[in-house]
Amino acid sequence: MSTYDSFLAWLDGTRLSLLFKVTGWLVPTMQSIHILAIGVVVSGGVILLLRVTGVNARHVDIAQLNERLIPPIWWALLVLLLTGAILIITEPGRSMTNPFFFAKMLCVLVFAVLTRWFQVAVRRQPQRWSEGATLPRALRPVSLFVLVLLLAIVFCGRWIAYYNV
Amino acid sequence: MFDFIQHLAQQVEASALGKAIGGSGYLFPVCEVIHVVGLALVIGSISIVDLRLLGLASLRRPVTDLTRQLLPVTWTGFCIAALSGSLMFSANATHYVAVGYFQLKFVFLFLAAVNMLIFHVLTWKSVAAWDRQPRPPAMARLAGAVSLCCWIVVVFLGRWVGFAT
Repeated sequence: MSTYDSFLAWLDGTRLSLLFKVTGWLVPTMQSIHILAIGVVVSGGVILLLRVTGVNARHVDIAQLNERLIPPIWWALLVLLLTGAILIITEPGRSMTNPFFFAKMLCVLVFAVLTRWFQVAVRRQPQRWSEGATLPRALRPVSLFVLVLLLAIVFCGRWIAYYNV
Repeated sequence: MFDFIQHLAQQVEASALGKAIGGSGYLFPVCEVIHVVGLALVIGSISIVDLRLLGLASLRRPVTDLTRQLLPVTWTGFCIAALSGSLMFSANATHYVAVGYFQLKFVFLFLAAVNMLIFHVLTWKSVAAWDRQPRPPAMARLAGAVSLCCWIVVVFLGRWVGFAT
């Protein structure tokens, strides 16, 4: 057994993991909270994407939208991390040996980096993002990419449950 | 009444669509992914509107301006969730109609609809008077609170349906 496998086996046998396993309501509750937080991330992301690509709400100030939507996205990601950690501790083998889990984590990481980049860029030069300003042309392909990332995160997340090692 | 519903459910499940989704290994999970994307858009966007009605967030934005921006997102999400949900339902209709969580989920969806209807027919008429008020009148705040609670409960019950045997 590799070190990684023995770590997972150890985690699987900890008292915390056993406690989580016998608490029947825990997994569905954590998954429900996880989904609510996904709602915050996906909706926040999509609303921002629709605005920066000019699909809707063209009169809404991007700098204002940035301050309103991105901080909740960070809080939601924290909730996702915590509920996700509880799910992993309950059943380490389900995700930690699952390629869809790692693909999801990679997408989350890229999404977080791009979100942070956007947040900082808008904060630094809010006037460049104000109403009527010409937005960088690269924003459209990047927005499409972020949308695909969000869909990939949801897809991989759900697929963890269906992938059998 | 339940016999009638059970009979309908049998027919749905025996339909070509129900058989196709129930008999396929990947169609059901694909519907689940689409369902999560749809409900994420609903809960995320409606909660922004609800928090505004409650006087807790987006206080500087007129309510009508916010709803014009967000309700198209909510309805798009709702249609995506309803369609994918119907497809999932068709695969195991007889099972779902007998599951308490599933029945209760529709009670809360109905409550959310009634709440929305009352809000639109009565409260919305006077929106011009409180459009810019940071703290909308009690009826509007009540509608926001009921809506937010209903949708959160719907997400929880929906996840619980997946665990019902």
